[in-house]
Amino acid sequence: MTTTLPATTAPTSRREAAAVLDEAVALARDLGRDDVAASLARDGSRLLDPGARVLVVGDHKQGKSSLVDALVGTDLCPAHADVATALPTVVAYSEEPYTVLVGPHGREDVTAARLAGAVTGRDDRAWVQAEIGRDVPVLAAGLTLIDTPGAGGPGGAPGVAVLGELPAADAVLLVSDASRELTAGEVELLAAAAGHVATVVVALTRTDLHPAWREVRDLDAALLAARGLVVDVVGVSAELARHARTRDGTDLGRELAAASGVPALAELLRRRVVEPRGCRTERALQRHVAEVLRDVRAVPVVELAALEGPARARELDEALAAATARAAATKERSARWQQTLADGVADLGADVDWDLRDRVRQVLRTAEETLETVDPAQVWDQFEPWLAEEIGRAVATTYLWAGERTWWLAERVAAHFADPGAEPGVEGTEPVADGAPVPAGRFTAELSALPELGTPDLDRMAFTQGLLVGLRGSYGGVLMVGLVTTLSGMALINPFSVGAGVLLGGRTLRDERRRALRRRRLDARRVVRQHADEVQFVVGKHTKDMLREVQRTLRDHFTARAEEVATGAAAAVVAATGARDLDAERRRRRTAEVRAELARLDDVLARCAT
Amino acid sequence: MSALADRTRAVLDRALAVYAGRPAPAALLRAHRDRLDGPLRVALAGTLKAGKSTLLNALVGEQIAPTGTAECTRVVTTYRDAPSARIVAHHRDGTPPDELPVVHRRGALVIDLAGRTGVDELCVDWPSASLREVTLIDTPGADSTRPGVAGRARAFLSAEEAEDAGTPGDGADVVLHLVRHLHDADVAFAETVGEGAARGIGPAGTVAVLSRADEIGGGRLDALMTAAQVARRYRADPGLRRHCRTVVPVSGLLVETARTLRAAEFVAVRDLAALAREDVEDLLLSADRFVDGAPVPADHRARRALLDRFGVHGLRLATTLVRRGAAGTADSAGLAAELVRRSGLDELRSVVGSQLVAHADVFRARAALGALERVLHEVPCGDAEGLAAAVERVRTGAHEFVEQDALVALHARGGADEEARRLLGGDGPAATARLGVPPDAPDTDVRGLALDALARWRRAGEDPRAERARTDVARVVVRSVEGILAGRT
Repeated sequence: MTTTLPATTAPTSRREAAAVLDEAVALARDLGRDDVAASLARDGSRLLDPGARVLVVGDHKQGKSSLVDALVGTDLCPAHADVATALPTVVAYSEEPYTVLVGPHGREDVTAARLAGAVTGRDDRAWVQAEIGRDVPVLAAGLTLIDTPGAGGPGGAPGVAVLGELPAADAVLLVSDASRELTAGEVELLAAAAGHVATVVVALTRTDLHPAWREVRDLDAALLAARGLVVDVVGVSAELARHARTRDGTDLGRELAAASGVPALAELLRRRVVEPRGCRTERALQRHVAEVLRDVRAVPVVELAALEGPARARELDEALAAATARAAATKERSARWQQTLADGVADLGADVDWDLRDRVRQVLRTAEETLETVDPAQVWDQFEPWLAEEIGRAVATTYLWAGERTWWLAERVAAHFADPGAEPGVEGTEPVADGAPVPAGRFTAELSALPELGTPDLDRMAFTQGLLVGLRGSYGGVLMVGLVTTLSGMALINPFSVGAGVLLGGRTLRDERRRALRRRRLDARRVVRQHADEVQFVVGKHTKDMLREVQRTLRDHFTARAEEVATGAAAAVVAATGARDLDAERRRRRTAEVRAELARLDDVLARCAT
Repeated sequence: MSALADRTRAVLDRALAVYAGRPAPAALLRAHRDRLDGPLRVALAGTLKAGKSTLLNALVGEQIAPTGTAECTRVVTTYRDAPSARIVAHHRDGTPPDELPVVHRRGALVIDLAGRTGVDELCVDWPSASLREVTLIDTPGADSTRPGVAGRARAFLSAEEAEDAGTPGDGADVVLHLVRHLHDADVAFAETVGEGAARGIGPAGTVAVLSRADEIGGGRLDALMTAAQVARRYRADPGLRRHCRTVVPVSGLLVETARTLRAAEFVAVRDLAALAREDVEDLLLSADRFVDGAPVPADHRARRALLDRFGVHGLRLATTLVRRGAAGTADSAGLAAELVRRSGLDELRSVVGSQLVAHADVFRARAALGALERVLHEVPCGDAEGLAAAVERVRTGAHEFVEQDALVALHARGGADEEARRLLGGDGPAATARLGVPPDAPDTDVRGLALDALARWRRAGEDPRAERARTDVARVVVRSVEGILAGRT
C-alpha cells in the first residue's frame, strides 16, 4: 500500500470511515450480495470499536483512582485516604450509564455505595472486576481507562492484575506521587510495560502538594532516558481538577483546570493513544472494505464486458477465467490456511500447557525448598499468600504469553489471504486510485508503513516480547482486538478466580503443634502439590476454552471470506451468461445500470484509498 | 546497669579473649561490648523519600541531616552525641577514615562528600541533648533506583556484611520503620527488617511511623487527625503486628520546621494570615499557585523557601492557627509549640521512650548476642561450642527477652489485654509502670497489687479450658510478676 498515514486524524475521519462502511454495505446489498453486506457490517462493527484501553498502574496510594476521576471529570472510582483499590475497574463510554460488578458467579448491577465497598475490598463476595459506563466526552472520544489495584514496590515485578490486562491494553499510564523520584519497582514496571504496549506515560500526581514536582519530573525523565525507555512524564493534580470542577465556568475554574495538568494529560492520551489507535483501526477497516469491494467489482466488470459485445469477447474470457481461477485458488488456499490454523492452535495448546507446567513447577520447587528449611506451622501465614501470589503470577504470565501467541497466529492465517501468488488481479480492473499493483508480501509492507514499526519479517522473526506492539497495527491484529479484549476478560478472571476459588487447604497445618515437624512438612508439601494440580486443571480448562474460541472466531471469519470470493466468481459467470442473451434495448439499459454501479463502486473504493 | 547487660558483657569478654588475634571480629565484638552502656542505637528505615532525614532533624530539633527533592541520603549516616561537632567518613575499601569539614549553610549542616566515592558509612558527632539517650542512624531508601544504595540499606539493617566492612558500629538495636501508607510494598521492607529478628531487631524492636502524616488525604487542615485514625485502625490489625510493635503518625516536616522556626518565617506566616481567609485558601490551593500566584508579602524565592519548609499543609495549618489567634500563637515560640503539639511528636517520643529506650538494655543485649552468634557461625574458633552454650544460657536466663516476645505475640493475636501488656513492661519496665500506679506509690501498695496480680495470672495460666496461646502468655506474666515481687526490676 502506498497510502501514507496522516500525521493526525481529525475525528471526522472516524465518521468518514463509518460512512464509507455504510455506503459499502448498501452497495453490496444493491448488487444482490447480501452475504458480503452482512459480513462487512459485522467486521465493521468490530473494527470500529473505538476504545483505546489505557491501563492505569502504580504503587499503592499514589492517587490512581483520583486521577481516573479527574480524567473522566466526575467521581467514579472510590478513592480513600487510607483504604486502597482492590479490584480493577474498567471505565468506558456508554450512552446508558451503568455500574456493574463482575465475579466468578456472574455480573450484577450495583449502586455507587456497593461499588465503593467492593472495590475497596470491604465486600464479602469475591468480585473480580468492576465496570463503569458513562457518557462523558473524554470516553466518547474513544478512551477506556482501567484502574488497577496497586502494584510494584521493591519486588519490582508487575502485579498479577496488570499482567492479565496487558495483552488488551493500548497504553500504560503509571501513576507516581510527585514527592519523590521513581522507585526501582516503578522503573521495572515501566520497562515491562514498554515491552507490550506502544505508549507508556508517567503521571506525577499531587503536584498541588509538592512544589518541587518539576525537579522530580526532570530527575525521572533523566532516569528513564538512561534506561533507554521512551516515556512522557507529566505532572497532574487531581485535587486541583476537583476544585476546578466545583468552580466550573468561572475564570478561576478554568485557571485551576489548566494548572491541574489533567486536560494536558487527556490531550496527550488522545494524541498518542486514541488517535493512532483510531487511525490504525480506520485504515484497517478501509483496507478491508476495499479488498471485499474489489472482489465484488469483478461481477459488474465481467457483465459490462459481456454487454458490450464481441468487441470485448477476449477481455471477457480473460476476466471470467481470472474470476474462476481466483475462486479455485481461494479454495486451494482455504485448505492451507485451515491447516495453518489447526496446526497453530494445536501447537499453541501444547506450548501453553507446557509453559504453565514449567512456571508452576518452578514455583513448586522454590516452595518445597523453603518448606524443607522451616516449620510449616510457624510460617504458614506468610507462606500461603506468597504461594497464591507466585502461582497467580505464573498463571497470568502464561495467559499474557498465550494472548500474544494467539495474536501472532491470527496474523499468520491472515497472511494466507495476502499471498501475492494467489492474487490474480483482473487486468485492467485494478480500481485503486493510484493504480499500483498490489505489492508482493502486502502484510509486511503494511507493517512497515506504520511509524513505530521496523520491517519485521514474520516468517523469520522469533517470537519475542514486543512483537505484539508491532502486530497491533496489522490487519490480523486489528481483527483480534475485539477477540482478545473478550479473552483478556476471561484471562483476567482466571488468575483471580484461581486465587479465590482454588483455596489452599493448609488451615489445619497451623495449629497442630503436637505432630512431628517431619510430618508437618510432608503434609505441607502434599497441600502445595495438590493446590498446584488443581490450579493447572482449572487453568488448563480455561486455556482450552480460550483456544477453541480463538479457532472458532478465526475459522468463521476466514471461511466467510473464502465463500465470498467463490460466490463472487460464480456470480460473474452467471452475469456474463445472462448478458449475452439480452435484446438490444434491454442490453442498452442494463449497460447504463452496470456503468452506474461501477461508478459507485469506484467512488467508494477511491474513498477507501484516501 | 542491669544484670542482663552484665551477663552479656561477660560472654562478650570471653569471646574477645578467644578472638584476640582476629582484628575484624574482635573490633565488632568490642564495639558491641562498648555499646552495652551507650545510648540505644535507633535506625530510621523506610522507602525512598519516606522522610527519614526530616524525622531525624525533627527528633534532634536541628537541621543536621540533609533533606531535599532528589534522593539525599545515599550512605548510612550515624548521628551521635559528642562534646564537639565532627564528621567522619568510613571507606569501603578499608582506607583509614577521614574527616570532613563541618560547614553550616542557612542554619543547616552541610555534609559535602567532596567527590569521595566508596564511602561506606558516615559518623556525625553532634553535641545535642536529644542524642544523649539515643544514637540516630539515617539509612538510604530501600527502593532506590541507584545501584547498590538500596542493598546497602538492607545489608545494614539486617547486619549483613558487618564483618566484611569491618566498620565498628554497624547494625542498630531498634528500628523506626517509616512508611507513607501501610501497604504491601512497605510491608515487604518490614519483612526485610524482620529477617533481623534473630539478630536482635525483629517486630519487638520495630516501631512503624506514618511519617508524612500531613500529606494524607490531600493535605487538608484535618490531615493529622485523618492520619491518627489510620494509625489507630492499623494498630488493631494483627497482620501488621508481625512486623512492628505499634504504629505512630507524625508529620516530620512540621516538627522539623517548628523546632527550627526562624523569626523571618514567623513574620511571613503572620503576614499571610493577615490576608482575607478566602485569598489565603485560593493561594494555597496548590504549591505552584502559592509560589507564582497573586502578590503576597514575599517574593517568589522566599515563598518557595517557605513552602519547602512548611509544606502546603503546614502553611494551611500555621496561617489558620495565627488567624484564629490560637493559644499563644502571637509569637514565633508560641506558634512553634502549637505546631509541635499537633504534629504527633509527643506521642512518638513517648512510644520511643516507654517502649524502646526503657528496654534499651534488652535490645542492646539482643543485638550484641546476635552479633556474637554471627561471628561464631562465620569465623570458626576453638571455643565455638562453649561460647554458643554461654550465649544460649544468657538468652534462656533472661526473662526480658521472653517478655518482649510475649508482648509482640500478644499484639499479633490482636489481644486487647491491657493488663497483660502492662505487666509485661509495655509501658516501661519499672514495677510501678507495670502495675499501673504512680512512680511514687508506696512499696506496700506495689507489693499488694503484685500479689493480687500473681494469684489471678497463676489461675489463668493453669486454666485447662483456655486456649494455649493464652496460657502461654499467662505463664510469662506470672514470671514477670514474680520478678516484681523479688525486686528484680
